Amino acid sequence: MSLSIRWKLTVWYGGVLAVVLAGFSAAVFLVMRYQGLARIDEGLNEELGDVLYEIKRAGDSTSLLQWLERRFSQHEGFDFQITAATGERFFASARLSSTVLPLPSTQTHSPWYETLPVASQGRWRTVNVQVEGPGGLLTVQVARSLTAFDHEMSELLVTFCLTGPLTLLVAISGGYFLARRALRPVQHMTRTANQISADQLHKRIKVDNPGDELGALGQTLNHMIERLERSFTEIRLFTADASHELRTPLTAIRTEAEVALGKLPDKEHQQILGSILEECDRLAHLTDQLLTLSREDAGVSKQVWEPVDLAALVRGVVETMRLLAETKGLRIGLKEQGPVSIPGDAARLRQVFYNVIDNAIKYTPEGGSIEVRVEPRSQAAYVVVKDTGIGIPPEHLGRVFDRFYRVDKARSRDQGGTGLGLTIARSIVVAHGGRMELESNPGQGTTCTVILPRNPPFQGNSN
Amino acid sequence: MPRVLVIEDERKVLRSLERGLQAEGYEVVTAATGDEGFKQATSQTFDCLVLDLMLPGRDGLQILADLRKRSQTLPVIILTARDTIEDRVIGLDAGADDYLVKPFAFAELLARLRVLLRRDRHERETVLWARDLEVDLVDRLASRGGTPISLSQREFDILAYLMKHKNTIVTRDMLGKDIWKEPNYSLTNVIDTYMSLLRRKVERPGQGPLIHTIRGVGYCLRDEPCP
Repeated sequence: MSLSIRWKLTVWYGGVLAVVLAGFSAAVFLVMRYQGLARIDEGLNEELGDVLYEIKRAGDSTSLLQWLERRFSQHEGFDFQITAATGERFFASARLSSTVLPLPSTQTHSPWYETLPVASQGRWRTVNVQVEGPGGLLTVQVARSLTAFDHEMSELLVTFCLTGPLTLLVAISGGYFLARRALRPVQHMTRTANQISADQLHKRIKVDNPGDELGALGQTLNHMIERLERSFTEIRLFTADASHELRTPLTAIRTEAEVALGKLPDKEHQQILGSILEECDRLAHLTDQLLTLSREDAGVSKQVWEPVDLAALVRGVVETMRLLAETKGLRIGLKEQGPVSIPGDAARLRQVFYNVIDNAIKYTPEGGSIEVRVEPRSQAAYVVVKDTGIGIPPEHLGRVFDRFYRVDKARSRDQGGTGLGLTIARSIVVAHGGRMELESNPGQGTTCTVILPRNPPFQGNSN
Repeated sequence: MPRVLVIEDERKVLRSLERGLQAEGYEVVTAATGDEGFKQATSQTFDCLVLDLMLPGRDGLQILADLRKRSQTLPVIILTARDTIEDRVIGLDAGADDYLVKPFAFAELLARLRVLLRRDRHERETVLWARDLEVDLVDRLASRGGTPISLSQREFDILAYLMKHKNTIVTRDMLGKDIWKEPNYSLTNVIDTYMSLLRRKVERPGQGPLIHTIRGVGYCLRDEPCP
């Protein structure tokens, strides 16, 4: 699965924040607990001091008990239990009258702090010490119920558990928002870059802050587009120059030959000049095709996308070529099912079908037939040109779209072919976002399928 | 004698245009640079200007614009090696009356010149004649010696076109552009086929051909002996 950068950023940010928040909450919780216990222990220690003072001062057990009863029976927050070495309880404060505090796990002469569970009264924090009393060894225990403390702690925990995710949620939405904001220039750049095609290379990406990372990216892209624009301009200039350079001598030859042709009465010379003119025409045609092709390849042809009724367009081409086919003794049929609208450039599309049908006529022997079908499908329009011609041997099938490639060189040159017709047809089809397919059985015929998308190519973000 | 100014920087083309036009009975003045051409176009009177677009110095479009700014109505045919539709539109928008893409057939230049120089004559004629061949442009009927010839739409268009350019050469390019509205080499075979069909219907055995093929150039419907 691939996430967009803004989601990745948000996820990372959220993850890190969750860990930090959890760590922070745990630390706060532990410190609070430690400090709370320390405070309680301090209080316990103070009270213990008081009790030990009374024990030390008392002359006998009875007076000690009296003093203890008076001072410690009712005491704010603290409870007391003094157990004799025999295990018999010597003294207990009022609240412990019905409950017995368990004895500590360790009996020492220095204060020992321990948290002890008391049946049905939660946990108690205690400080325990063994002292020599008037009537023998006594275990003194000062205790404080942890119920309030535990309650406080659990409230803290609940608070953390509630506010943590909430904070995280707010922070993540904030983070997402920030990431989106920070990446908005990227979206903008993507959109602009998508709109820039060969004939819109003058466009540039808007750079808001040239100083930051995205600004630098934008500038880099702009430089790249600039270089592209320059090379496209060079190609345009080259084709213009090339056409001038190639056509000017042809013009000179043509005109000179034609002028001479008008003056010469000599049949033989007329023949020679006629042949020169024919070669001129052939070269001119070749020049045209080469320039068309280089323009198509460079993508510098003007793209005029208009709704074109493909069925009507093909019908027009078939009607134009019909006489040619019939003169050659071929039947040419057209099957269509009403208008098929596709976006395209009608003049260039006509060129495609002229070339394809012209090829079919050239390579189908007398008595054969050519069937042209226009089939609208959901995504694309199919134009199938099926002939009963000589076919293309399998080893040539992959190469017939190559420029200047001819299956039978001598033969097609005799028929006026330049070997560029199919190449040009395919270039135009590709420029329309479509493709061409060729199937052939030598001796039985060839089927050429032109597939053109019904949606405008190169718009939005598809390319 | 119509006076034509030819502005073209390619010496060979210029020379052959000059010779060819002179042979056709034009008085030709030539200029090899834009500035020189502009000077001549503004200092003398011409019936037509043949203007190359790519010129050293002031280029063809500039000359055209400058001439039109001075409200010169001189008919202008531009010659261009640039063949994209935009280039043609630019030329026509700048005020050119016609354009030819190099390499053009000299016969086509002659035909276009004739059209520009006698623009309105053909428009008024509705019935054209060549020997005993009659072509009625309004009723779209053709007949030979009074016998109607049955022609398809397209065949009639071609015959009418040949008749309008009677005794001059019509190139395949002209037919493609003006009849099929498509400057397309693929039409060459189609045009030749139509021509042979048309010949079969129009020509009468023993009467000498009307429609002639000029090898390497095009066709000509002629009712005069060869020039």
